[in-house]
Amino acid sequence: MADVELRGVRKRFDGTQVIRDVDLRIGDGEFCVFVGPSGCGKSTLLRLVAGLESVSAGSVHIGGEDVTARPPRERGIAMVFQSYALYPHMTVRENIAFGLEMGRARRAEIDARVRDVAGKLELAPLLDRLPKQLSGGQRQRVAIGRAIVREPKVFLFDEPLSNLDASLRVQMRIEIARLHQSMRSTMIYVTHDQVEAMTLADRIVVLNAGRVEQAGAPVELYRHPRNIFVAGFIGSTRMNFLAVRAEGGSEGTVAVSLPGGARLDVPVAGAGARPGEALTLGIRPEHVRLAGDGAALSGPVEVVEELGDEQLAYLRASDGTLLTARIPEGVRLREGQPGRFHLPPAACHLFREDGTALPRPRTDERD
Amino acid sequence: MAKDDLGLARVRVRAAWLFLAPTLAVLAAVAGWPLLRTVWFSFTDAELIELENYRFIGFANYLEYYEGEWLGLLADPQWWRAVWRTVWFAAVSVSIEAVLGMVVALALNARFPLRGLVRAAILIPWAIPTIVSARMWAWMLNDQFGVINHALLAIGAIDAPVAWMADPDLAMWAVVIVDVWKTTPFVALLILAALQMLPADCYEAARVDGIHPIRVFFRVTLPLIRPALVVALVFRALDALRVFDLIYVLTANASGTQSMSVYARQQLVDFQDVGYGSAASTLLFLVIALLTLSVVLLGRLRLEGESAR
Ligand SMILES: Nc1ncnc2c1ncn2[C@@H]1O[C@H](COP(=O)(O)OP(=O)(O)OP(=O)(O)O)[C@@H](O)[C@H]1O
Ligand SMILES: [Mg+2]
Repeated sequence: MADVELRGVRKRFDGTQVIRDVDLRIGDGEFCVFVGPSGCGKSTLLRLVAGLESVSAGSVHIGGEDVTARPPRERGIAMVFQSYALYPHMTVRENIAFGLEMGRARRAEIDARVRDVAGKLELAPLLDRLPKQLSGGQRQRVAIGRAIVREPKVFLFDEPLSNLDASLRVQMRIEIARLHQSMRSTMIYVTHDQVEAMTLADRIVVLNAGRVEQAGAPVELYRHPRNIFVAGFIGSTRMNFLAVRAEGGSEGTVAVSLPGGARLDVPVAGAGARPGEALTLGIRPEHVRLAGDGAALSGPVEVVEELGDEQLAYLRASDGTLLTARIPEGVRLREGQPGRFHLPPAACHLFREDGTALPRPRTDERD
Repeated sequence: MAKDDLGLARVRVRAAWLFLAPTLAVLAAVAGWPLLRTVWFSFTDAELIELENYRFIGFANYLEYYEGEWLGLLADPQWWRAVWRTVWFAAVSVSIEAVLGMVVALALNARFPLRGLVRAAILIPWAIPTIVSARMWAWMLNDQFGVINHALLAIGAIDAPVAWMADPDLAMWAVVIVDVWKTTPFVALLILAALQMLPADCYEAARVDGIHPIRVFFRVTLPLIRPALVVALVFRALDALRVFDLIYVLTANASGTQSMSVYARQQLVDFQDVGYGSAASTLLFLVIALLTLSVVLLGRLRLEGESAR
């Protein structure tokens, strides 16, 4: 059993608070991804779990044991660094075996394990090369091999793929997913990449300025962001935000007036908003429609970006906000021509002035 | 196109020579000329009082068979004792400096308060001119008034003052100690520079993997700083093989502690024998050149052996 638990963890570096009161439980065998803007404390949090940094307050538990005061080697973890951290003067074989030689394992056994791992990661033909004779992807595989050969209870990855080119990233992403499936060990993975986060994670933890904004399954964060930060952060193209005003509405809906005057009845769960309250309406570019029911915004289409299989259209609303829509290829839109963006009410999110979301109904899970 | 490239290369080569020319001229004047003259004098019977009056005598200064006896530098046991003494001195002092320098560098590489100050302070022995530090140590080691005898007596380590400079063996160790005191900072600084270039993430990986720090030192740190270490030690060894001022100030011309340089100076200045002294200087030069060459060749062989592995 190797669940990881952080209780009230704080970290300060010479007076600056970097991690503030993080409470988090990562279940055994779970694939947990930390995301957040640069400098929010993802690496620091990972290093606190590893024991490379000590907590200023709170405690870290791995497999039910309090490891707060234990050095990294007694925590049963392995870590893959963004920079690979291979020993430059050792061959691939030596790099992988180096961590094992401590454990009083026998020569033959070490050899067998290195060969086993090399087979899994297709490193066998490279075993006698030095790191400088490898490509980035190969180095990354060696770094991963060095981690898995020790059979740790918990894997920590700090942006392992960020130095690779796009196609290699996809390939390595699939390999990591496969690895997690076959090993079923707990993995904590830091990334900037939306797609990596959405596809790999059992659970995503969104961090901002040292705090956990929301933790949950990828789809949960996508459909029910708890606040405007998570809504804006999750999703490969950023959510559109519009300033709107609550007009009233009955139980289960809030009526808002869009810039330009159109009214929209947005379904919500529970109590709505006070009439006259200033709200922010959020809608993802992939939910914006060019035709259909629901209120529409009109304005000039300023830019159209061709992405091959789809297009991104930017429309200037009457209050000056720039709205993005993802529309299928083949639809002809002209830059500079007037356009209409329809906002399906069920796809809309509403946020109060303090940034918290009005809960959305959970019945409608089709998108 | 190819022609233009060639032209460009030629222009670059010419520019390089142009920039090098002043340095080469100065070097030729201050190093090349005296060196050539020394080599030339070593084949003559020149004397210091009248340098213009000399004869070419071939290899007689080096080796000569005269009335049933081998004469000349190569047959002089005192010269060979000076050679071995110098090599011993270089080997012992450089080894001690390597170990101590490593320890000091590792300590200075760690994080602690006032580190900058300590780093600067440790350089002081290196910054003091050798003559000054040698004089200072000569006084400290003085058998009657020296602070070292005084301190050793006070703590009861010895019960009579030690005449450090009277016994040649003891005197050589005193020279080694002073040399170590003086040049360890230099070695430490070069090693420290290499330590600071080491990849920090490798050390974190080693920590996560639970590798013992001593093992990390021998398997990671040492191999990675080896190039810098070799350079520092070659520098130091060349310096130690030429040692002169330290020994001359501490023990003057005492024959029991003569190094190659002190021997050459004695022949040249005290005995006025420019020809013989020049022969000693030339041999000194050859010995150092030979040792350097063998170190470089050994290093290259080692490197090639490793890449072939
Ligand atoms: N050793 C340190 N000393 C002082 N401040 C630090 C230290 N390490 C990190 N910080 C600060 O802590 C904050 C969080 O850093 P961290 O490296 O965890 O960010 P991150 O989320 O991993 O960012 P990125 O996505 O750019 O890697 C940053 O503001 C950083 O300046
Ligand atoms: Mg980071």
